[in-house]
Amino acid sequence: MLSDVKLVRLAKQGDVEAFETLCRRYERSVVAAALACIRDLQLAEDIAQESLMIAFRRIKTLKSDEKFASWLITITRRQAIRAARSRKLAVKVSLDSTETESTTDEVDAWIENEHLLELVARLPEQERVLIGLRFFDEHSFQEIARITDRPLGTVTKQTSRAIARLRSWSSGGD
Amino acid sequence: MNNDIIEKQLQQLGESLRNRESITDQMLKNLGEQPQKNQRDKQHAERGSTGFKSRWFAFAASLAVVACCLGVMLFSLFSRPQVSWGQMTRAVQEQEWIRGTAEGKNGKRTVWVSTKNNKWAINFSSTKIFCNQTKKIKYEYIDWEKTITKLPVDDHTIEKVLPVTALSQDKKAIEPWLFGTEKVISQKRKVVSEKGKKWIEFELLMWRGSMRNAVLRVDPKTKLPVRLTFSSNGSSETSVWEFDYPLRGPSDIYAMGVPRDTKIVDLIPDKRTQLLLKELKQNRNRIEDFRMVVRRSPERLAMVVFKKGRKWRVDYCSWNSTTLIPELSNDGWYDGKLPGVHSAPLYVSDGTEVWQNTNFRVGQKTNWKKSEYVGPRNLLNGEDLGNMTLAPYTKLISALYPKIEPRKGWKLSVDYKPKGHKGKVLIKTSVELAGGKSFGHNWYYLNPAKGHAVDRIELFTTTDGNAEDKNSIIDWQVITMDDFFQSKKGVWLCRKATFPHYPIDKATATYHFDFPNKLDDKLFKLPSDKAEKK
Repeated sequence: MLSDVKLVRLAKQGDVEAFETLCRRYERSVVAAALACIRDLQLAEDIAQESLMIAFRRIKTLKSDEKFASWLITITRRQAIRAARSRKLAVKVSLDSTETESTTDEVDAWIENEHLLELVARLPEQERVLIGLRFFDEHSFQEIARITDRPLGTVTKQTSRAIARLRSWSSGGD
Repeated sequence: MNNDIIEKQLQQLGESLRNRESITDQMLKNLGEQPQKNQRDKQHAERGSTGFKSRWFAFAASLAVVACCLGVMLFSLFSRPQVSWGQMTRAVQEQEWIRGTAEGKNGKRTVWVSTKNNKWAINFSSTKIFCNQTKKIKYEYIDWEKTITKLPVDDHTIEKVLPVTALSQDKKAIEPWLFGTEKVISQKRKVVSEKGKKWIEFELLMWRGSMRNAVLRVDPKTKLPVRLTFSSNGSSETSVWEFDYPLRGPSDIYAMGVPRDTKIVDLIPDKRTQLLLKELKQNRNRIEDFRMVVRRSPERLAMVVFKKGRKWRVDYCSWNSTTLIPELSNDGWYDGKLPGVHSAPLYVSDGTEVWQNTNFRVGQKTNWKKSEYVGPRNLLNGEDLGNMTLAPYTKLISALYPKIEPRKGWKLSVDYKPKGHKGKVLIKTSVELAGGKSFGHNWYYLNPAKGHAVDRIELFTTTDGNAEDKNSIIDWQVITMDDFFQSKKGVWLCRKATFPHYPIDKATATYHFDFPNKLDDKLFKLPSDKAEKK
């Protein structure tokens, strides 16, 4: 398994497969990042896809190859925030239409995850990426160590720290 | 402990995300559609330093790269048939019509759906239904009735008809064109060969329904489904739907063979009534997660209701503990003392099914079985305080915001100035009861000052259809709701309901609500399937 750094270098040279591998590695984390900002799963997936496209087009502008994951998630968050704003406007306009009600059900299913996603979004950059890789993209710790080019011990420690943080926030701590 | 919960929640969230179609596939497809810019950039990067500046050459080179990529993609496509769920869905949506047919005990069943035209129709032997989803109108015709009933539909009506009623489910459409709003909870893809032809088959597990297992066969060339086979676990019974894609489908109910001179019974309410019913529904859906303690007097009976999203649970408090529960008290009492009250679970629902503990005496071993009489939406979506006989008076939301909609056989009217109830709005519904000798009437008084929450329900039976004829009334019950307050989201709720109670004149239920930020998911965990088999 190639590390992110190697894949990013290949992708910068135009290797589509390398970029595809990067995308598959992070696609669920990217959707989760979008969902943290916007409550619509379908829209979040569209935003995630758009963000991957942007990343593909702009990958040469990425200065630190080892920061691909956080760079990608930052792009996604920006896109999602932008979409959330325009969506708010759209909802405002159509308040009187009969269409608005259906959104309740769509939102409902994700509402339980919302709080958790918000907490994940609050994590420091590195930890957020680890949580995404571990739980959303379902990589083993060994794989994450290879992906992020970090020692296995560091990865497990940082992940535990991230979970502890989430636990503390979840139970009302700052 | 909490750590485990967080990890579990993260795992569940991850699982939900992974059950979705890969966005990388779609992104790559889009990249394939607009590669020039990227490839041009690439050529600049690769060739710029060597001084190779010719645009024409760069263009030719980029074409070659694209051709290579396409070659690799085509090779992988043909060497192993690959159709993603998303590709299949899009292929269906591009069709004018999808037609599904199935042979059953009662004859041939046909379903037409057009996502392009937003129309669907079904023909199940004697029943014909045509729906224009854009206009939100549905026409129903049953051979022996000889009338067409015109009814309003909402966005979820499709759930009730497509393509098998057994799979109907109320939310989360994955692909409304095929499964109504049924949710597919797991999906496996495989390639199968039959008579020298390769097919893609998706093995699906549906959210609920007696036939939860489905196999969808897709033609890899057209990416279109050709067959859907439903089966139930542990039974050889199957239901098979074959699909084809005609250019034309029925344009109206008459195109399905209904005579043009058939009488139409129009049950579409006027605009004002539609808005009123919509408001009831919206308020019902807006209510946040809650814990509700129900205390009934004069007998000592107490229950605790938990609601989280679509999940809910009712606990039965022990007789001794009931004495501890005050009819009404401040939040502090419930927070401090309620955990010490002994209770046993009575119902639990994960939003898709309801399980009932038939041995709900506190301290006894539970005995769970799937409830045959209580549905997952009964707690919140009923019409009054009744129906859940083991947990009476817990259906408060159903009383405050009843599910009222035009229904076949029912009369529905609204009186905006009901006599003796100034400032209220009265919704009257009535139906001819079995045998045709009596009529049931449900009258709901809505209070506009309290967000149109219902504060009085009159349930009565008459010997003739005229509800105003007091002499014909043979049964009369009144439920009243008092002591209203607003939830955090501004939904009006009440703390007290009074209802008839025989032989005692009246009984009262008091309600204490609180709105915890987080209700533990364990509360709503269904007993395992093993328990059902026992």
